[in-house]
Amino acid sequence: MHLFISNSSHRYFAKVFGVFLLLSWATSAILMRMIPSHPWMIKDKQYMLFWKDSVIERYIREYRSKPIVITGSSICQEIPPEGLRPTNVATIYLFGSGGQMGLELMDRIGAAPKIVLVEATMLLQGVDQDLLDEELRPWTLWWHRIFPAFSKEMRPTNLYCKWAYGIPQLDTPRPATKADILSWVARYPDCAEPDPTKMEQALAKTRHAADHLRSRGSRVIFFTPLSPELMKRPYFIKLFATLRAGLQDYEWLPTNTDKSYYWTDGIHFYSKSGYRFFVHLMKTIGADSSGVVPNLPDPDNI
Amino acid sequence: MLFTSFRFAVAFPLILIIYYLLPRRNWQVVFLVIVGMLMYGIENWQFFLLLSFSAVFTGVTSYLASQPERPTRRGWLVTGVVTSLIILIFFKYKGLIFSSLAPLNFLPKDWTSAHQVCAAILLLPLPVGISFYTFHAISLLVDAHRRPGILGFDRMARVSFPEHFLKTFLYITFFPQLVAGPIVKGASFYPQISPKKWRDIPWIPAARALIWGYFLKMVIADNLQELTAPLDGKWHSSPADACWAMMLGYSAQIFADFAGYSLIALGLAKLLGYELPQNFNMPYISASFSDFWRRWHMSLSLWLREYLYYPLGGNRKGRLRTYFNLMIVMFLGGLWHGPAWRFAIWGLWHGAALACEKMLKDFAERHPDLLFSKLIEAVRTPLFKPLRVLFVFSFITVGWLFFRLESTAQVWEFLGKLLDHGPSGCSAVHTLTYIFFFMVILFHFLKDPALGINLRELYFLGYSATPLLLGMMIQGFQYLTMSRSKTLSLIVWLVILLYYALASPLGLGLRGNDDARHKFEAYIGRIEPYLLGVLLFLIFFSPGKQNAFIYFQF
Repeated sequence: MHLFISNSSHRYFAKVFGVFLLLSWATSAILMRMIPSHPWMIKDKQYMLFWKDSVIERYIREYRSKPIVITGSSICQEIPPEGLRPTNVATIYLFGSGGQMGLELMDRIGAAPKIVLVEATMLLQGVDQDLLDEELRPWTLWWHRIFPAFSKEMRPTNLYCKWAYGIPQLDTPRPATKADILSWVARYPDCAEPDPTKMEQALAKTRHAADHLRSRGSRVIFFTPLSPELMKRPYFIKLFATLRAGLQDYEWLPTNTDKSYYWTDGIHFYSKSGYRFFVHLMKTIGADSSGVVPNLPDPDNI
Repeated sequence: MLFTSFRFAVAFPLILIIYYLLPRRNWQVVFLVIVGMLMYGIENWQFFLLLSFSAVFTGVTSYLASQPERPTRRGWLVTGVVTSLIILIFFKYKGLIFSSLAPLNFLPKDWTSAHQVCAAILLLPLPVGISFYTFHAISLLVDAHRRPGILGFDRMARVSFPEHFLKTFLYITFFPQLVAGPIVKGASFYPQISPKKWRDIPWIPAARALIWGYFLKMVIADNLQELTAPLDGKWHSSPADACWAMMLGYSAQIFADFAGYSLIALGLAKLLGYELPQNFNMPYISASFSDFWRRWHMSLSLWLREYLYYPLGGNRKGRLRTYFNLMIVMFLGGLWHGPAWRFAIWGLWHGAALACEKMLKDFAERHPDLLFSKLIEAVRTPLFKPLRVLFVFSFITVGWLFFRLESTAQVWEFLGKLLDHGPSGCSAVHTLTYIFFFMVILFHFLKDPALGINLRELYFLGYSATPLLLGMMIQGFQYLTMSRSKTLSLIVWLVILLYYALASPLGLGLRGNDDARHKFEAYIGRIEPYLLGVLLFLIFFSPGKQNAFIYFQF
């Protein structure tokens, strides 16, 4: 068998792969060099298609320098908002998934943060296993290390959207109305109940990953930032009763009763309220006084 | 197994190496059959037996139908074709038939609950690729009966049954074309079944087809898939600008998806030593509807022409019958795409266009002296080609709405929305849609990559499409900066019109320069590897989310 292709083909493919390698290297170098002076390139708000992937990739890249991790669904996006996120805090907010996926990600990459705050509201959302497998494939990890331009965050479509969406403002005023809290309330009518099978599976998987993290020395804490109105719904009463019972040997932060946190829709925060809630979280777990996240700016002075 | 999946990227090089390392060359066919069955079976294990049955049955019936001395050969042909069609109809159209019969009271009202077997049958999923392998089977049966010689059967050299059986198994299960074509005729595939050698691999044409194919699929179609996702019933709240973007985006997406898949199939087959037929040839620059169907899904068009249109009488039985035949062939062709009436309507949309086109042509030929005929002839001159291209493209793009939206009523509603004069709502996402749409148009600047570059078309496109693209880009920029100025738009489009008015005759005069053409061709040949390098880079730099090929559902 002739293992090699003809000489003319050699030259042809040398040109093809030469251009490919040159462009890959040059683009990676240019993009990485641009990031410090163009922070919009790595801002949170981006093309919805790659948002979850980018959050995962970013954590894989930076997990060694993040002793505090907040993980959960889209609810966590603004806890704290970017721009006010201390450098040693990572927020793994996964649209359409929940804290379970964040825990599994940390477990699979062998992360051992000091404190892991798990937003438990959407624990039943499950894990996007295909996405995790894709992101944690050795080939993908290696490829992204060699050519950072090939990470999903750096895709032209994503960069274009980041650029077009503009830089988010921290001083965005509180929405005039409590947007759509009623629509969220309507999603959980009195008769709605969490699916017992899903709940059982979520508990088992969450416990599995949380146990691993705890064995590595992490302090795993569960919380929910839901508004008091939503917490009164029978669905959530039952959900949290079951979750607390199933994970009773873990720390649970008290349910929020302070109505001064402003929500966009009773479930998601807007920037400033997210920061207020973050400071509240840090105070509750004693992270600010212990020096893990010292000198947090006063929420009322930002 | 998806050709764009990581699993396939790992598996295919291994398959290729084992294929060429096999100690006995005649094991290659058996190996390919096993690989094809495994690839199909891994993700469609429920229908593994169905595919096996289809291959075995086609192998037996086509052999019996090909024996000239057998008096029952016609019977075997009919048995084979009817059985294949019954399988296709049962698995693909059961839901459509039941749901269409239910309102006519042919069935008891509670037939789903009363007849649980019926309900269970209805819930059977559609076997992936059934439309394609059934058409392969029918094509083989008919060819084996009509012209056994082209499959290797004749009185002088008899093919043994085991040999034919194995070849048929490969023909049906050849994995590059198993689930979404191109539809290969047995007459062109069987002669290729022979021992293959590594040194005979056409590396450059294979790489060309693969890189273009993956580029079209992963960079264009997969990105557009997300951008046009609101067409799944979430477009009602979108403003007119967004609807325009989605409509054009889908037109580009379906082309990039299917043409990309076909090119990947072609490239993979080349690496295995087989040549599959071209499936696309710059369809969106067609200047007529018949031209479009000679360029779009060419293997299906050929199949429909040969095994449906001609047997129905083609154009040999009078004008009215010809128009009827065109309509019926396109109606069935539309229905072949999916078990829903909207696909049939899409077929009729094209059938009506073809019939009208033929009618106008016939009219002009029969009454050459009438003013209307002269007008028709004038429109058919090269001067009006850009306008004809634009008209055909617009008609086809609107036709895709029947294909994509859930009902005909939604299509009319969507078309109404396009003319809505509401506030602009074009966002970054829609601008991206336009960018990918432009990329598809740019792709049409080049001749189908597996065939090389056709400068005549290139010149035509260069002269006709560049100002159009420029105009659209300026519009896109306006959207981007949100500074929509009606005066600026008007000026841009007036300049474009003026360009066409002045440049058309000039361009037509210059087009015949052979010397310049050869020089340009040589230049393109030199830069091609660099262009492929850029495309390869884009495949890694800018892919969308991995999606199944649209045509897998058919």
